Amino acid sequence: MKAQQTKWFDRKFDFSSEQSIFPSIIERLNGTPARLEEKIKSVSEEVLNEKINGGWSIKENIGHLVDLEPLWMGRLEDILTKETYLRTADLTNSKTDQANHNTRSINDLLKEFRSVRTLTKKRLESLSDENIFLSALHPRLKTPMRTMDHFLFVAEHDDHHLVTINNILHTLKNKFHAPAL
Amino acid sequence: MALPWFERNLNFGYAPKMLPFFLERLHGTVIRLEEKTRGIDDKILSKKLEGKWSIKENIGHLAEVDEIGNKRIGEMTSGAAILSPAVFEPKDYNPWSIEKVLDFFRKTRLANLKKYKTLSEEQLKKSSLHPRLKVQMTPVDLAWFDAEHDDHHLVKINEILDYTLNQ
Repeated sequence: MKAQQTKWFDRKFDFSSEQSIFPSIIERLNGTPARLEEKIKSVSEEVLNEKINGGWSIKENIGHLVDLEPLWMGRLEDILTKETYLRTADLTNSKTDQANHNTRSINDLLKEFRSVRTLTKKRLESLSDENIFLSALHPRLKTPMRTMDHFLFVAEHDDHHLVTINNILHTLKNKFHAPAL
Repeated sequence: MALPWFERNLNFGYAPKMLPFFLERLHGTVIRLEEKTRGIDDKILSKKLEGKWSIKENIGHLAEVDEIGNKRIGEMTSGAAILSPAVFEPKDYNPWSIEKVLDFFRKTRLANLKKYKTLSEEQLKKSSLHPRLKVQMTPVDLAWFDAEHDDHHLVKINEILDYTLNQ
């Protein structure tokens, strides 16, 4: 494939839709654990731990998704309690850098991600139509972000890391005989 | 109740650099469907609520859409002015086993993913008119469109499961 992927911080988001596609967004979020599990089910430990050019390993990418779930849920509470701004994210991602996710087993990481994501899904399913269209300002993008937009952003962020994992597997497939994508 | 598909407002014009994300979504649909239907009784998988499509029919529909998508990718890259209409010859998927329906979808999906991955950046920028939406669509737009369409039918399947399992 000739097309390169856009960097996360270069991504532009369109939050203009007045239509509710919230059930589709919840469904997307719900699908991420299964997609991750399938992707790494026959990948060796050395591939899962490998850091290419100092970037995050596959385990660290998955750990990062676990690390961010409290931020996503905190921001939901900011919207529901009518804060002006959503709480800020640590753009240096120090939590993930310091977590030593490579020392954990892949099964533990995946199990924890599935567990926190299931809780997120249950919380989102409890929201009313009114809640879905409430908003607060995103601190980096400086745009109003409704509950629906926020969780579309989360789904896109999941996909960003799934593609990053694909790229790692592609890069390492010759070095460690990782499975073909 | 989810917003009906034909009422969705859809904006196109995606850059080629977005394609890897859309292909990852398209790839993940098969896995999500496998997880969603695992352990579900065949009667539920074949059940038509109020005359609407069963779970198997929703999945078979995605495979049929992929067959049209495969044709449309070729039309866009060869410079066709208008894409072929989405005309289906629906099969009766309900007598099929769920494994057979999923296998049919897996084959059409993998064929489309393979085709997308052969396209050059120049081909990814070529567009044709979508006959229903009346907008220009590139292969990148089609990949996003189909990923959204997948999610729509996954939600329809959730609705069937919620209704039948909670009765």
